Amino acid sequence: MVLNTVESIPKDLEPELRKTLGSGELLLILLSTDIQSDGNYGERWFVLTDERILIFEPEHNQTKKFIFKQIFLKDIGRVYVRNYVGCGALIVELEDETEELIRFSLSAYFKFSSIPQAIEAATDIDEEEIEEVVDEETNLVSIVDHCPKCGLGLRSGSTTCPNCLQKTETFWRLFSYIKPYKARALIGFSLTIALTIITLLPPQLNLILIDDVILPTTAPYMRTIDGVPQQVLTPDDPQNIPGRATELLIWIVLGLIATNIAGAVAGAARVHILGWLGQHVVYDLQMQLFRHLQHLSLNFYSVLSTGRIMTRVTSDTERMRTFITSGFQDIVINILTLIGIFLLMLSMNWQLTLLAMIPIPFMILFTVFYRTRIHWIFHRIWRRISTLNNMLADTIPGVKVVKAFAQEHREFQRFNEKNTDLRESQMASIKMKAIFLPTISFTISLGSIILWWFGGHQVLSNSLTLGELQAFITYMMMFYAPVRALCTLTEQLESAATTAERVFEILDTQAEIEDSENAIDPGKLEGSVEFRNVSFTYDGAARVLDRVSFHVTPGEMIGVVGHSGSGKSTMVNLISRFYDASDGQVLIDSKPIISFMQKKLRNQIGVVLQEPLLFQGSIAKNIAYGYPEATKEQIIEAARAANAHRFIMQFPDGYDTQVGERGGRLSGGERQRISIARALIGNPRILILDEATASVDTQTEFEIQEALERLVSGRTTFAIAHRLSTLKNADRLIVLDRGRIAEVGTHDALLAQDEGVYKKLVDMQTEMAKVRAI
Amino acid sequence: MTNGNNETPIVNYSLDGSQLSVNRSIHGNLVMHINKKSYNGVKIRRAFPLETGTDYIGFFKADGSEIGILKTLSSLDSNSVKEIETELEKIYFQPQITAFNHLDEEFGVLRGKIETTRGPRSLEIRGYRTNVRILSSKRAIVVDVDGNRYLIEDWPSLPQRIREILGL
Repeated sequence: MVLNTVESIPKDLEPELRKTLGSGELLLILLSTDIQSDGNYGERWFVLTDERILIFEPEHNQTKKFIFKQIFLKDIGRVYVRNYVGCGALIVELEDETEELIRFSLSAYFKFSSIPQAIEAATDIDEEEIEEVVDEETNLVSIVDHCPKCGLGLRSGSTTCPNCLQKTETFWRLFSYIKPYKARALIGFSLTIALTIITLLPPQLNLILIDDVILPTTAPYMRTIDGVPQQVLTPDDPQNIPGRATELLIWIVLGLIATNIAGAVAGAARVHILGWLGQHVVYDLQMQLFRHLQHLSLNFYSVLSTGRIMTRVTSDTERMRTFITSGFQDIVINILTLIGIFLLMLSMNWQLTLLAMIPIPFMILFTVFYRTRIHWIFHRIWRRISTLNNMLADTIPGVKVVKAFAQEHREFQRFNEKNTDLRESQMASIKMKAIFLPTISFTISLGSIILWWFGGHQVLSNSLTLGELQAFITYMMMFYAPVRALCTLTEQLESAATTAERVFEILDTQAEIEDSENAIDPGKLEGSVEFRNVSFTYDGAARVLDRVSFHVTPGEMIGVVGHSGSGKSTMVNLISRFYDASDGQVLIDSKPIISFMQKKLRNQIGVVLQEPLLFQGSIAKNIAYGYPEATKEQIIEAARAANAHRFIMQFPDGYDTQVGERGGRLSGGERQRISIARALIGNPRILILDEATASVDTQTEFEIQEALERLVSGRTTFAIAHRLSTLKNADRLIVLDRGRIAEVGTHDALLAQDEGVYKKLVDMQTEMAKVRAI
Repeated sequence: MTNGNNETPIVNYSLDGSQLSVNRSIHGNLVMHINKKSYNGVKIRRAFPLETGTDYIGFFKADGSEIGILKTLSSLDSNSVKEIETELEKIYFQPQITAFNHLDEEFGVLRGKIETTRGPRSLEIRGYRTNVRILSSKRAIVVDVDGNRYLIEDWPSLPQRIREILGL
């Protein structure tokens, strides 16, 4: 493997680099680090050419002058990365000394972790190979764990930067889920607009009610029409027809009833339609998400915790639904209401409109200030509550220990300390609320006082009617609510966008293991397995498997042994193709495993894990999990072969017994035997037993072992076992040591090797057994 | 470790500083000399890296087995102290934050520009509710998005706004 990674070369360094590199010397790698030779933060560059390693560092306080050191590849014995606490270093062993080449913080760790392999490759590289690699863009090593645009650290396994992602794009994508239901969405939106208009009508009707019904009949005073003073008719004026006012009153009341009914009907219809829409959108989203999650490779699950994934499928999609249905609609309603009221107020009286706007900047200022402060106060409260809860979760179940060590008083003191912190944080929030809420109310009432003062004067000077003033003040009060709501507009949009991005991040994650376009059905497998120079790394750095090669014939039983962390489980995971080899090839029946359809391949591989996970449902359903069409006879047959039939029949509900969440109602040994039956029912050609008997007692182990012996006959089997005695019957044992094959042979042959790894392991276990026996 | 009320250690792993010296081999390895014995390729570790500075240093042989624990460096010769401090400096890269020049939250991520004992640094903390931890009444630790750790020696003395953002 040849790496070819060149970061953008800093301008100042470029001439220096050109000057230093000899003609024909090929630049293979240039990486910057963030720690200088004095141990302080600062830039330094690591350069690998086909001849040597160069390290450049700016001279102290000089950006354009560099000091450099060089080491020729021919002088290097060994290169490795040493992990320290909070940083790492690239170490080279030369003939008579060990030198630390370069240091890096954990931010730069990932890109340097593969450098030893690169140097190893560069030492025996030929010109043609380099040319080929340099020309092929695909061979560039991706070291992007930060956004290339803004430098923001990306979530593990993600290539989407939340900072650079255009929010508008996210919203368009979010709303694209409404597309299939656009007719209903349109109706919902129309109802929203209708509701906004309906809300604006009552003050207008009130205006007519006061000016044209109540006042003409009760208040003998002057009013103006188009600026011309008019004598209002007194109740006893012969021109006044009481019937006309009454008629108008009836119409206004009917109008008010109609607007209220229309509002209620439109509101109910809107809630229903938007609710329907929201439920359908969230259903579609959750289904898409779950389907995609099932498709993603195991690596994804090792990066993102179960809790986080569950949050994204449930809470995050629910939040998206809330935004699509009510959040977004509220924003629209608020904006429309603001525009509508403003225009109405402006058409009624522009001077009063401007006066009504006086408190608005103060309201916005107060609200924004309050929200920012309260956000951090709530954050602090959350932390304090969480600390208190953690403390309780520790001390309540551990009360026996507390009492045993007579530490009740100390625990009380600790609790008191934490509780005081919480009380103080809560008080800060109360203080904030106590100041803010009255301040806002005062600002609003100040607005109406201003209007009463100036409006009152206008009424007295007959340039405004009482009805208009009343309507104006009502509109003003209606105006403030959306202003306050819109103060959180950015926050609402950001929160929705962030939630949506988290969900889209999963949807955009590509499965690492995909069937190729011309993937083939392997047909009925013979069961031969071959590893050809297989290496594997989870993080692109440390090799968990290092150039592993072996060939297993059909029907052979292979025991895989080694210390923990030696690569046993990784090796068998490659056979199931849960991961693909980083280097080399895995072949089944002499064909590369990557050429097979995953589903067809896995159907013929049975897996029994150390922790058998059963799903909620009956025992029968669990046994037939991978083979749903299995008959009852086949289920019983499989259970019998797994030594499970007898205990299953002891249950009152037999095979219909519900196993509970994760099989919690069954014992470990029972769960394990059901999982063996589950592996057996598909009649797999290849069997993988990963520590299948590690967590059960001796009697259960014996029964399981008996079942396993039945299970392995005639199948290619890979068995990892902690208790080495269980692998005595294996045809061959593969002993792994730090990712490499240390020994291969039968139990007896390996025991005969005095200094062998297997012999040491067996001796160690025998000693342990003696100690336990004592 | 002591045996109940009896002050006699059960296993004496305490190293006597006056009998101990450390230097480097030509290969750059630490060599420890104690009680007329020499150990090449010695590895050292802090027993309490967060609580104490250079107190309680554990010494291990090249094969990982323990030699003992040195309570304090004060009784060592200056050259040994220098070598041990240099080695610890190398192993423990744990800058202390001396000032926050800027700190803000965006999209649930805290971003800041800080001054540390190792120079200025840009900081990014994701999941800051768990990555800012109080260690004691004064000490706190901040873990950034890449796993780098930064110590805060006296968090109560930080500006109120910074404390609020960090949830301290």
